[in-house]
Amino acid sequence: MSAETSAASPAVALPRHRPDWLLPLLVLGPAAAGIIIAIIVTPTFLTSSNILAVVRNASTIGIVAVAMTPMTLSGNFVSLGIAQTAMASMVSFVALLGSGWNQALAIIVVLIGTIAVGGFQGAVVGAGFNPVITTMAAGAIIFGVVSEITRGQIVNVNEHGASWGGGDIGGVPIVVIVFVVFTAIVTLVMSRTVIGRQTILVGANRATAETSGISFARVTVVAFVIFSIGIAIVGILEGAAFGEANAMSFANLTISVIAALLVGGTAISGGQGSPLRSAAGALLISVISNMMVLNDFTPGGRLAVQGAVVAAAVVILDMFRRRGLRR
Amino acid sequence: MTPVDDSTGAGGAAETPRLLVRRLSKRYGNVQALAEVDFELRAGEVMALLGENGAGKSTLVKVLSGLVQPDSGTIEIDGVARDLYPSARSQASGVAVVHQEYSSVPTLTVAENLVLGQTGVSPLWLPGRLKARARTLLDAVGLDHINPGTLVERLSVAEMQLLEIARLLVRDSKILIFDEPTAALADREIERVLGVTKRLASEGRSVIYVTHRLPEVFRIADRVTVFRNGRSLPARSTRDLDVDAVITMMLGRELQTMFPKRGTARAETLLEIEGLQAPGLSEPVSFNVRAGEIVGLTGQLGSGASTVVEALAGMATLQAGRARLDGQDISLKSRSATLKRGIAYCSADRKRDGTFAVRSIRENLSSPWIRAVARAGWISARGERDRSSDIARRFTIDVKRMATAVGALSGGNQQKVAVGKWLGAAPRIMLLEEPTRGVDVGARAEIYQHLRDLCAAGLGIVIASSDTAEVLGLCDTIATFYRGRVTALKPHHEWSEDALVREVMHQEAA
Amino acid sequence: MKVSYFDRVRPYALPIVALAITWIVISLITPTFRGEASVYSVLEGFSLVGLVALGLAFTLIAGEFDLSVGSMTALAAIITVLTSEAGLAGCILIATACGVVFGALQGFVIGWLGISSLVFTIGTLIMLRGLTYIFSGHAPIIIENFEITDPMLLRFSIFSVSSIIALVVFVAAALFLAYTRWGREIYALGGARNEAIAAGVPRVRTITISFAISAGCASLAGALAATRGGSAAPQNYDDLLLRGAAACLLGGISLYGGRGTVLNVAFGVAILSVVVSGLAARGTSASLVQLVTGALLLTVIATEYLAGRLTLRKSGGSRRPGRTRRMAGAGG
Repeated sequence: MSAETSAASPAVALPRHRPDWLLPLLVLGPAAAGIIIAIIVTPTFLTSSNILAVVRNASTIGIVAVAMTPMTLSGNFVSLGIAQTAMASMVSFVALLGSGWNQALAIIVVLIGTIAVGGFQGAVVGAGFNPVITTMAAGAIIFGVVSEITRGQIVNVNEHGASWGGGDIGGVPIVVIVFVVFTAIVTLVMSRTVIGRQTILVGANRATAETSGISFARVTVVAFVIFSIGIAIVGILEGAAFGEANAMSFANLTISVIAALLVGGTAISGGQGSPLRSAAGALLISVISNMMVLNDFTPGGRLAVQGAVVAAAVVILDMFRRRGLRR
Repeated sequence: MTPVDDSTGAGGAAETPRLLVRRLSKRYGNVQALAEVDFELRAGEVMALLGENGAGKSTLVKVLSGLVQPDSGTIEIDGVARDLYPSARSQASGVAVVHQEYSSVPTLTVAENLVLGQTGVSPLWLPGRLKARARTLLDAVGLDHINPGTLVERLSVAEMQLLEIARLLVRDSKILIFDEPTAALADREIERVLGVTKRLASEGRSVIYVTHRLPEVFRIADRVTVFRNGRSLPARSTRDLDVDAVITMMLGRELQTMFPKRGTARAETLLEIEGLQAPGLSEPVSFNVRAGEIVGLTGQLGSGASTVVEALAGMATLQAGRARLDGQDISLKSRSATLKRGIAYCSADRKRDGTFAVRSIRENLSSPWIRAVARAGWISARGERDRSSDIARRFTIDVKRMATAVGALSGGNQQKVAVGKWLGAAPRIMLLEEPTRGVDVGARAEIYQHLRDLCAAGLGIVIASSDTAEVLGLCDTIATFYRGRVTALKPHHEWSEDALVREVMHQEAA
Repeated sequence: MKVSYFDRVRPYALPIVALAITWIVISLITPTFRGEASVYSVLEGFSLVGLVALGLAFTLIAGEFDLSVGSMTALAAIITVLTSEAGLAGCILIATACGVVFGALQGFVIGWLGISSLVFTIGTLIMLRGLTYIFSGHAPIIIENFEITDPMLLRFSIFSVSSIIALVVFVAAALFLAYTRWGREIYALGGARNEAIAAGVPRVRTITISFAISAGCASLAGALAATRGGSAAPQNYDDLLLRGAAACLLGGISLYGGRGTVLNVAFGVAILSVVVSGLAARGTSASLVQLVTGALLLTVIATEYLAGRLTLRKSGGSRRPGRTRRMAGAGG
């Protein structure tokens, strides 16, 4: 029936085109309006120290959300092992520093290690395994390994501090600069390189990609590698900034990153979206979170709102997409 | 040509017909699928529905089964005007359809599938009760050897087809539509289907029997309605007809003007195929393709023509056989292997694997050759734009709309994108399945011209198509397929449309 | 084509063997894991992970994925403690009913809108966890009146009150899935969604039922745990989703939907219980147990994947359009 129904299209043969900016506007528009109202109601928001905190928080979430975007674009949904992987990077980095390792060397080792772990998952998922289950299982394994090694203790850099992690350049925190640069790089890669184009095509239609010679396995591995790089960056920066870490570090990261990605408007089914949107989503999530803190929302309340935002974003974006493209 | 037993409804025109369709029209974009069609079905009769692909048969079936809403026209059942859209209403009006694609759930048992979705069944599905119900239905279609507790996925294709018919018997439908019910069946099973059909008609139900198989038409049908170009010819009794007459009714399209002039194929052989064997082929297939030649493989559903094309694309599990391109052995193991050799492939289902519906025309057109306009992995935006605009212009796709999502285009334009994208990849061989399915006449002519132009540039093209007129008008060499093997392979000038249709339907010449 | 006795047993062959092997190995390395005590602790596993896995299986079989089960359990535990004054049966019923209602709502939204359950339940899992913290006041809460929960401590050789309740639910679920129209419709939707809907299976109702049962089972698990332990903490059960999914997959529930029975879930729960109880008896840390669970999960999906590839190759691997396998929770 499928080939025959392809003959059915709207009675008027004019192709309709929904502008690309309409979709994020639908979500970010009302959200922006809500934020402006909230800002008016919450005077403490607009202090420089608070805005700095918000931007810092957004940067951490944002780097990971941007890094995970290629994975989502390729149709591999999301990783449920975000928190554990970031934690492992942070703990490893802090531990290495604490043992007296050269900082540059420590950075390289953590980067390579994280990429190896992520790349392995990418290979597994690229071979056809369910990405959600794979990353969930990997996260559990990573958590178990790190917990055993650290025996629940806090790891410390001791006297080998790397204060540059929490430092800034010209008043702008390092993590923010890295966020901006990383977002720019990943966005360019997705929009202007061959691998980026292949990533989005694979997510749009895996079967068509196959007949056009695009390898889903290769795209998936690359996506997981990019994801791992982002996580390693965050783990290293936070490790340098705080000087200590334990198995519970980054506990809430998974939730925030997924929320940021979804709210930004990248389709969970793949084939539509961009890292820039995820960056915007991270900013939005961070602002919402901060707004709630300033208004004395309890941690539970904040979680509840975040969850509701994710659920609502999924519904709104999905409904919008279906109306937009009548197949 | 034994006439069918005089079934109850074959007589008087004074009776109210079971189904009366008047001036039914349906348009899809540029394609007029049904043009003022009249159709009549009497109680207790078997009406054969014949016609080439694209002639309108399937659209009529879709309208009657409630899948599609007509633009205009009236439908009456037993004298009462009816709206048969959506399918629930069609079912409630007493219409039941056996589609070409099965609607059973493979992970459930036969008995469960027979009860699925039925109203008036107790919510308690005890195995004993279900099996008893199933037994009578299964026996009626000749599936008495099947245990109702078997999972459907373990049935053979033929058994699944018979199961589809069994599902029909559950309902008290007065109008049954069989859409190519014997396409996948062997002779013995065909007998069963014919027997069931006769019995249903004798019970007073009316059967619309859509088929390409003329022998069955003359064994089972009381009357024949032939569709041509979206129009229907008045129904004729099978007693007044023979095979030749029916074929004459089906042919005669004045579409010679849509086919471009043939070029001259070069002497050298581009592609040699030797002893190809894959699931779907009953005998090894061998043939050659010369540079500048279009080879057409034609046959009915399940004849094996499309299997050959899929195998050449690397999309089928090869059991045996070799292929040589420019004298060199090439691997047909995977799509990437064949792609590396410059083999382009467009399947029959562009929505499934021919286009990226949510992406723009430009991104679709550049998908197979994006690397060619990239340096060190960096895409040259200008390079992509220029090359894709060039393709778009040649395929008369509006270059101003290059950013439009392909899914929003008409069928013809989508097909142009699905085929045209390969232009930029400089292929050596192009493989196409049903290249103009669901495409309007204008776009068809364009696609044919482009294929001819590609040939002039030295490509070899292999087309698998069930449209005999298309194959005859376009191709240089034509191979006919029947039940998984090649029945004839001749250059185009040794074929007439009459002979081609007969060969495909496996009929002896009169 | 007769359906022989062998055909009936074959789907369970792998889990049975796995259970046997696991039991033997764990018994060997853990001296205290023997006899009645071992069976008891395995059955205890049915009342927490077992019920959660059972509910999860309903959504998996339907071709969906309810990721919110862990949070639902935690919330139900809190609700149970908060309503403990209604008596033992009362607070358990209230908490379970809350779960059923929420699950039905969730299922309705997912079924009616046709959205991805995978992603939607990520949202609800966060939201429910937030509610859990709110209702509990961000601190563990206890049932003050011990008498209410005393009956839960009763033990009848290898059974406890909770495990008996859990087993009754398992049996009821098995009968429901095997012998009722609504149960078989869940299989239909998961096994071949488009075909099922074309045949007339009501999508919204069926998905609503699956999610209602999923949340109901998760809530019951939380309620039983809270009355057993006499307390509930808002941060509990954050790895319950992992364990529930592991149990389902270990037992043979397919990620593609439409396959697997309650017996499969039972085997999976038993295998996981043996591993977890055995390791816990040796004093293994919770994080290491999590590690083992994750490793088991990966092993199982690897096996299912390889097995799938082998059968595809045997059947000739022809592409038949219209029967592409959907991944659980993909939506539509």
